[in-house]
Amino acid sequence: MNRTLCQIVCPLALLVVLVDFTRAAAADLHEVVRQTQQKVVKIYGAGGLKQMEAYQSGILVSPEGHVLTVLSYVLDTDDLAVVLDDGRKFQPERIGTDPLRELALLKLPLEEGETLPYFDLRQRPEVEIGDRVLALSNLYGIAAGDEPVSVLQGALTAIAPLDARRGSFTTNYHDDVYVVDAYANNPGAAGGALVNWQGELLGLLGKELKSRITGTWLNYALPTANFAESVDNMIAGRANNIEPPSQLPEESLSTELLGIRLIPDVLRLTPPYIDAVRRGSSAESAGLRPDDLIVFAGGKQIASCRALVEELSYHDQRDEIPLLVLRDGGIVEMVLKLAPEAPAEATGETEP
Amino acid sequence: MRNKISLLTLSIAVFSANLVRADGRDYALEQTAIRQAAAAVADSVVQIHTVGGFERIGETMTSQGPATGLIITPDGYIVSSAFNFAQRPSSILVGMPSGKQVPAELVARDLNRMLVLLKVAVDEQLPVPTFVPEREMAVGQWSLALGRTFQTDKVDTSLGIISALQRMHGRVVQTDANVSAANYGGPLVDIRGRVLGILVPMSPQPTGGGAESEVAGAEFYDSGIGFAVPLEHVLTVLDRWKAGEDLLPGKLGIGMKAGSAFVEPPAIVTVWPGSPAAEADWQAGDTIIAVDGKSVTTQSQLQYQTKPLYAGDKLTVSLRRGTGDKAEEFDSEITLAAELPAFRHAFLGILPATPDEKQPDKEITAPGVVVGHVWPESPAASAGIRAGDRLTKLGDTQIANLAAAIVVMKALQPEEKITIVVVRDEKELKLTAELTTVTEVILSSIDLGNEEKVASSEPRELETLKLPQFPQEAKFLAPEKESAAPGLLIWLAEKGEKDEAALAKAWQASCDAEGMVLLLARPGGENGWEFEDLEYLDQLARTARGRFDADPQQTVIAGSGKAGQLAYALGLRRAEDFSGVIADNAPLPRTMKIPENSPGAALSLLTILPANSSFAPLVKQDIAQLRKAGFPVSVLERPAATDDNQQLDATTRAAITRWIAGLNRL
Repeated sequence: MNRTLCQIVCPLALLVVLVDFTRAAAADLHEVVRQTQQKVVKIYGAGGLKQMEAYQSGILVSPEGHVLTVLSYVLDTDDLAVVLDDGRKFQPERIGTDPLRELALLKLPLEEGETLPYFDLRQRPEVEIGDRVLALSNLYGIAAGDEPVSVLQGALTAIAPLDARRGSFTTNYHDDVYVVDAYANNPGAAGGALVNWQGELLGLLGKELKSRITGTWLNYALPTANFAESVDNMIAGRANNIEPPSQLPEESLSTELLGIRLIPDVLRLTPPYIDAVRRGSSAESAGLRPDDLIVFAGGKQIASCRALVEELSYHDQRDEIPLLVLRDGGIVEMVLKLAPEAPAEATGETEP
Repeated sequence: MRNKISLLTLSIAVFSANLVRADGRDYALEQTAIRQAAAAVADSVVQIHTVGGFERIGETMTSQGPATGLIITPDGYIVSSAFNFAQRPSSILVGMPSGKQVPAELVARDLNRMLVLLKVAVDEQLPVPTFVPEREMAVGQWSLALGRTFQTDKVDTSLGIISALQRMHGRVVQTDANVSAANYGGPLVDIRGRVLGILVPMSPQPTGGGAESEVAGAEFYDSGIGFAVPLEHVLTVLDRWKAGEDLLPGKLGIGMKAGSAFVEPPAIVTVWPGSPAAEADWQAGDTIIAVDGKSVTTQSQLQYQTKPLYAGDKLTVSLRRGTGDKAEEFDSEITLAAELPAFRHAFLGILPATPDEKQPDKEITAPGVVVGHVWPESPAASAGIRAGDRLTKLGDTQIANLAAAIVVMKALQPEEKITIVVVRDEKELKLTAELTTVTEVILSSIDLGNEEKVASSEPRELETLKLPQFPQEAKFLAPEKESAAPGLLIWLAEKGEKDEAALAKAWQASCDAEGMVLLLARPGGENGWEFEDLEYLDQLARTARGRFDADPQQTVIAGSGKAGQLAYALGLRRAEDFSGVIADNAPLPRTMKIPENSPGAALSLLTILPANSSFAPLVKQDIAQLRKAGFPVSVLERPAATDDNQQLDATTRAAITRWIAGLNRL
């Protein structure tokens, strides 16, 4: 084939394939949804009191009927029921739990040789912010009969660490989640599937949580990569119930150790101004001065005196803490490091 | 590679007519377009951190996380949502595209569209997005709401369409993309990567009274109704804004006929004294027929013409005066005002006699209002009105009873001269008085009845009033003698039952003398009064008013310390439902905006300050502000409370009772 011909034919051939593909993809959205719905189950269990719905969702993760769902009070009953999209009902066996991610694995008693459609957790499709997604779940328990779960469409809003709370408790899980703009995480939705428009699993819809950053309800899913290993462990019968690792180092830093005195902390959001710096202290060697406003420490924004004290407590006394300080309307960068022989008993202070 | 993609794109474009057959959409192309649109603007979308400030504004918690802003000039002007700065932070930091954190200065606010303008010092040209002219926007087109809150290195993206143009009286476009604290201040972007507008919360119903709050509308986050102020508009006001001038909603200063804004014509009912309308000599009875040549036939249409404008903007208003053949039409040039002078009620200076004080003879049934007391140095005193006179005519209006007199007084203004007819010794006297603003003097001459007698009477048992939807109970003490429309004193008790018993004992005499129900409310939580209790108090006050058929002229809410702040918060917010607020040793809630005094309400305030109160400087500031807003504020000083006796002393209590009795004044 000569070059010119190729220039004409190749795009044309490609075009035919592409047209077919796109047309197929569009026409198949319905088919994708139907096939995906078969891998999402409805779970009915304990609850039923005010704001304690007695149902949630789950996804099939093996052909043998392993169902992954969220660990919750719903599972606290001997009368647990898993209902497939065609209405078939099973009483599952509990296989294992993952307290950190708040996951539970159930197993359906299938006939010998019987298999079910499932999500392959080894598949990790690429996904980008702004990509369109589908959320499938038993939300609000409205799919009450022999019918498949509900499907919502939206876009991937963000991939960000989970910083959220349930009531006044913060969650143990702090890794990345997929934040979406569909109202995916309503009652009963936890344990459902977040998939792309090809029906490939992106993540597992989580429990209802409020973001600590925005103060708003979050719609999110745990990415497959963050729980696939945990599921493998549960299937293999290996323990997953490790306590969440301690977040505080053995010997925490403190303002006292560093020789910093902040202004009196009278409000919840008292700005972290330096009131005084102890003579000969690590803070003095780092270059901190009275009236400096600490705005970033260890890469984290510090909005209040309390936030600074908390942030320091997460750092070991051997850590170097990069600081951003607001002084005379400009930003000053410095690094705070506790001097090994810092004289903790020194008392002299440079007053403002 | 790039060549191949463009060929692909081209071929898809050429054959897209074919693709439409499937279900009208090309998902792969859409996906690419969405990513590219976000990427085109991403560099101009900055993350903003704030330091310090208030924890909550009214009942809305301020958001704790980083906020979003949009660079709009290469030399460092950044626009964001006023929501993100409602907490009044002490410092602002902006994460620049280079990754550097730089301090920013808040140049000015736009409180008509709820935006702020920030400025950062730059040493490089910043990336600036292009804007979509408003005339090119169309309902149904793609829109992406971008923020930089959840992630620092990427923009948060929510996908939707433009749902409507010219919403909120022509100030914003509406989108169904998710809009919340995660992207307020960020851009709404079209599929070509151009900025449609800046995302803001906005409430269709402004909260009663004063200016709209920066956080209003935030409760509708992620609801499918989100708003963005067109960037094109922002750029047109940028020069004015750069000068550091806050852009404020513009006011005309007229009251229009109540009813549906979509039906009622813009007919003027009241002209606010000292307002632009008053200066332009508009009169009650005039009807607005056009604004800047655009005809308006309903109040809603008028709002579409005036709401997008700012204080200081000029407009030409056409009005019609008179009816039928006498009607004349004229144009009036007017400059919108940022603030109207505070409304002040007119005051004559008489306290009507209570039934007991009236002469026990035939005069009781005679029409008019019998004068019980006259305020010294008041207009009534200067006019020669005395206790015992029967007032029968105010201005041109015959007065049948007190209710009629109140209606007439509401229509009058301070400094107006009126003629008054009183009957004294069966003779009619015609007097003239020049009205003043409402007095702050507490009458010292009111006889509170036989204090010793009542004080020695046995304390009566408290009764219970419980709202089913709230856990706590309230206690009340009805006056000994039943009266048709008793006064209602709602006291926010601080320390449980012991405090309630002491309060009831202390107030029983006064309540009996004044025919007043004492209602003792309790906080919902263990830690005393909190702002969360406002909802309960609101409901409790409503229920109590209904149940006791209380006199609206004498419904008072009172509290000490934190409870006093709550009394302020509820009383000022529901000024139409209360005639008085008593706050003992309490400054105003710090984040509260004082609403303007309004003709429809008649709220008076009583501030009690214990000797050596640490709040004294704050309270004095508050008094000045409240007076500026048009409210009469009476001030009582009392001895400092001791640890073993937190109750108010008898002298202060007596003064409070006289103040409450005085609320019935004309």
